[in-house]
Amino acid sequence: MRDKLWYMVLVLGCVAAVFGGALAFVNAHTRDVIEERTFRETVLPTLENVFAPYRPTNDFLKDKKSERVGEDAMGRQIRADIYVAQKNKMPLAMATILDGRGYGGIIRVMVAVDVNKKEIIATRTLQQTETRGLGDQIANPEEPFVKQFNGMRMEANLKLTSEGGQVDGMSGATVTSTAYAKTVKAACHLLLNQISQKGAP
Amino acid sequence: MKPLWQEFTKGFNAQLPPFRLVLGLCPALAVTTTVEGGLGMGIATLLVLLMSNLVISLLRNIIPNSVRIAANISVIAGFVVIVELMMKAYTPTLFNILGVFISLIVVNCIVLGRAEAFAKKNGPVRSMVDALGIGSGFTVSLVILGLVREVLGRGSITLFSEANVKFQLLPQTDGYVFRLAVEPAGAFIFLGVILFVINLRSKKEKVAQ
Repeated sequence: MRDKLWYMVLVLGCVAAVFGGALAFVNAHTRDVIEERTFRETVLPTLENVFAPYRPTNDFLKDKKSERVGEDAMGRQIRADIYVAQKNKMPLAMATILDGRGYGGIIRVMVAVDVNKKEIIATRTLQQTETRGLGDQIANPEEPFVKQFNGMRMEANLKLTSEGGQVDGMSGATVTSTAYAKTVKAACHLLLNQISQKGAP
Repeated sequence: MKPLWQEFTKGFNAQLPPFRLVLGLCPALAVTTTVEGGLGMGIATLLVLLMSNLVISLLRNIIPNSVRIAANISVIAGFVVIVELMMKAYTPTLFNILGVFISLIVVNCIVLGRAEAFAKKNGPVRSMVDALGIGSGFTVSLVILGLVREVLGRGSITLFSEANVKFQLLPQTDGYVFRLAVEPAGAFIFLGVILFVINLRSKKEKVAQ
């Protein structure tokens, strides 16, 4: 019996099934811990930095919301996390992280906005692989291109000036500039929806 | 049949993995820049070896010979991912140090070798003792290699950076590193020196007999 094909398939299938189950179990029990660790290491420092002027009193991870922002080529949902800075339960600022397609790969941008003024507080690049010396300037929060978004209206025309918008692109890095502005615009759109859903405070 | 305790002690004598069997060299060279790396890698390998030896030994009469490699790899890979997820969740600093080498335990020849050479022919208790012996031997070897390289290379002994358990032996000057001990090439040299010492000793023993 042991050299029959069906027996081999059965045994291998059982081994795979048992270990698949075990992995699912372990994954379910470690997922939250791992997610929190990654959040604390990568997102939290930037988030605290941009929210600092509002002196928020809430736990950002606990008040995190996840919103559907679209679908990828395979038809799976793409979700974006929305973080809120609250003081005495009043939402003062919001931030989200979206991915844009830059010149050298994915650009991950955090956009923080003021809920009352509907203005951009700051934008930060969390991850990028743009051309060194040109596009990679977006990683520097002091770079004029990045700084110009601070204080802009969320409804503003966030396109490059060459396309009739209000954003001055970086010379030599048009693709990066366009992608960055596009991502900021998408983030503003998402956050505006959030604010209007809650009813402007 | 050998007494049970000899199955354990052989992991330190005749079958000491990196020095006697010269197996598992890839992790032995890659992660031993610090004591912590060696210790973490050794313990992770020991855990995987222990669990996979147990399961493979229990299943040895069920799994047909022609699919045993596939079945063994599935078992080993399963345990490796479990260990990997646990480390990622509870010891992230160590996980960052070891990086891809945790996943590479799947193809570690020690683990697969023990499954093939021992667990599929012996009972569960004996297989676990064998795994404990070989695994501890491997851990001790990695710690020794890590100790030599870290003391010479950085003048410190790091045991667990997550809780900041670290001893600085030499006063820390700006960026002092003895490059040879830290770089991969140095790993080969130090491994070779230790191999030389051990072979010299065993040769003397043989002559004495």
